[in-house]
Amino acid sequence: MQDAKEYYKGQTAGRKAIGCILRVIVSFLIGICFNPLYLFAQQKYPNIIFILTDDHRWDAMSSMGHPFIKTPHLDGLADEGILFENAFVTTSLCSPSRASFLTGQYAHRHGVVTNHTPWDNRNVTFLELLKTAGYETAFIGKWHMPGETLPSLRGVDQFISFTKEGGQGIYYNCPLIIDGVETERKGKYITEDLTDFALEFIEKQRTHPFCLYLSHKAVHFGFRPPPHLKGIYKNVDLKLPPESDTWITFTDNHPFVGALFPMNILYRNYCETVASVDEQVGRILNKLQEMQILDDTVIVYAGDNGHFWGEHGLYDKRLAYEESMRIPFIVRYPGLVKDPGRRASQMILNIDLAPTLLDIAGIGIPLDMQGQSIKPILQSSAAADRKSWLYEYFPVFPIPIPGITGVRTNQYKYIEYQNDKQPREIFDLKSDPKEKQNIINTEKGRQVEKELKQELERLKKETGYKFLSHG
Amino acid sequence: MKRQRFLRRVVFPIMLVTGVMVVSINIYNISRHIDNRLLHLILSNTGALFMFLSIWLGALFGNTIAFFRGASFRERFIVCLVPPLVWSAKIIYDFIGIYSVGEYFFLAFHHFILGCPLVALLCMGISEIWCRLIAKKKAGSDFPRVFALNNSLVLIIGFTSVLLMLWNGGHSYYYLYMDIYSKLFL
Repeated sequence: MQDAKEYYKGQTAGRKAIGCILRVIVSFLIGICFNPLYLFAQQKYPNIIFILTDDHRWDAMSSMGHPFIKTPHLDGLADEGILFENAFVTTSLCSPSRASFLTGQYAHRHGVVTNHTPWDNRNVTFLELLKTAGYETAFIGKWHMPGETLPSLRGVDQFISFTKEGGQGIYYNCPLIIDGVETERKGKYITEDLTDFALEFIEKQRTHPFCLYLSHKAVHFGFRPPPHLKGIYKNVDLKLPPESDTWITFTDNHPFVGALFPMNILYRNYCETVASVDEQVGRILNKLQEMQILDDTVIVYAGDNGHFWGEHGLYDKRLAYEESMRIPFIVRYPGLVKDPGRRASQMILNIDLAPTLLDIAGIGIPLDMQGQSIKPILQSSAAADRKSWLYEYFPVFPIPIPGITGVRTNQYKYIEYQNDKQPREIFDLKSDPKEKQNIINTEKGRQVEKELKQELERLKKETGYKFLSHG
Repeated sequence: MKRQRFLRRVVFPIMLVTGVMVVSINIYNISRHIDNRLLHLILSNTGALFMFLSIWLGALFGNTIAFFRGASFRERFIVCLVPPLVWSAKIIYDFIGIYSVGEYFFLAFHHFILGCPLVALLCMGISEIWCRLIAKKKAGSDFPRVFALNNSLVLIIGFTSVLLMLWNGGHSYYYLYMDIYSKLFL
């Protein structure tokens, strides 16, 4: 005969188990009932594809008037959507900018202030919020934030990335970490390989909408096009800016950036690598078309920062000049864009991406996101523009570029450097779009200096700016 | 070889290499502001060429001049190291006010700071070989020895360290350097 005490214990355990199962069922039902995707079942939730490239500057596309690069698929995206001619990053550097896209926050808020400061896992990404709302999510491609391993990114169903070369990856044979498992990719060209995974994710049978974050290594330094595109711009006149020359990457402090090749070779390879990105974007568009979900999908294409190709005698990015802080930004979504092919002149930022995607998906925008939704601009060309915005850069050892803060309005740009390492600058962007004349010591400069300084201070205060040397 | 005055055997080669460095840097920088495309190209290419020769290969010339003007090995060593150290100092100056004191010290181990004097040692080692061969031929005796202890050591140290720094296209050294940096400063 069973001992009474044991019998009672068994009964209690049984009740506990039943209670536990009931709790799971009730939570599941509540989850279903209050999940926005079911709660508002009549509303159609768009799929989202965000394609992020590296160092692709805003004018390296034929639709932006580049003299020889041909980007038919990106042009098509712009023709069927909106091309933002004044899109910028708040920090022109890979890791901070990537974290800003993900979180909708300035670098000083999300904490990834340089390429050396690690991702703080308390940060909330738009992927996590979309996942909570019922989206299927995937992060495929470049993560590039420090750490021995990749983080366990919340809200991501599929996470494919790489840690090779400090997270920069390599163009050929780049080992991928596929959901935590390192996998050799012999003979694979990375842009194509990542696109293959993206297509696989898109093609999955599903009942929920999806959000794909596809982040390429291209067109970062290394600049290697696939074999069939190698040499397509071999004989073209590169039309580099007049102040550029072959040796910029070897001179001044540019060797610290580590691209010790003649400028013309680098630029030619860069342009050919851009062509490869375009080709892979085309594969994604074709797949969506084939699956008849192209118009139900929000497609955003952007670069993580710009790039100097000799302008101001500079190479690389980081500084607060237009070539460095300006990015390509295209949105295609016929559900909202009623005048496709429009060129939007409003100033938008990388930190606007997260709130915009949440807004389009009908999900509340967290208060700590510092960007603003550009959905109104997608809907109407008359939507209001922001008055100004804050640019920030934090020193990255061992690059001899000081910390930078600046304010950009539609007409002026004011730049300050850490410890006054370089003279402060004011540029009149209307009369001097290439920022060749620092007008700070002119009559005109003196007239606007006070106002711009005040605006910079206001923006710093508003965004909670603090100078961080290492995050 | 006749031992010439200190000014001629030591100061002159240092001033020559450093002078070419300073002038070429300025020519290169000025070239950017010249609107005439042809002149811009001539000056930028010439400036860049002489910058490279003086910064990275200066010891080949400096050591040869000093050797045939009778400088001692110790003096030639100084002749070879002063110009790259001047250049390194210029680079380090650009970092002032950006990073912490500890980071400045660590900066000294960067490719382009530490690498410059080490390349100078390699160049000195190479230059010593041809200088000694010529001197030996002229003297018609066994003196000086082509591979004596001091110049062989300079050559071996220069060659080994440059090889290690450039191994795997410089990536191995760079990532090791940055790993150590992260452990020390982040």
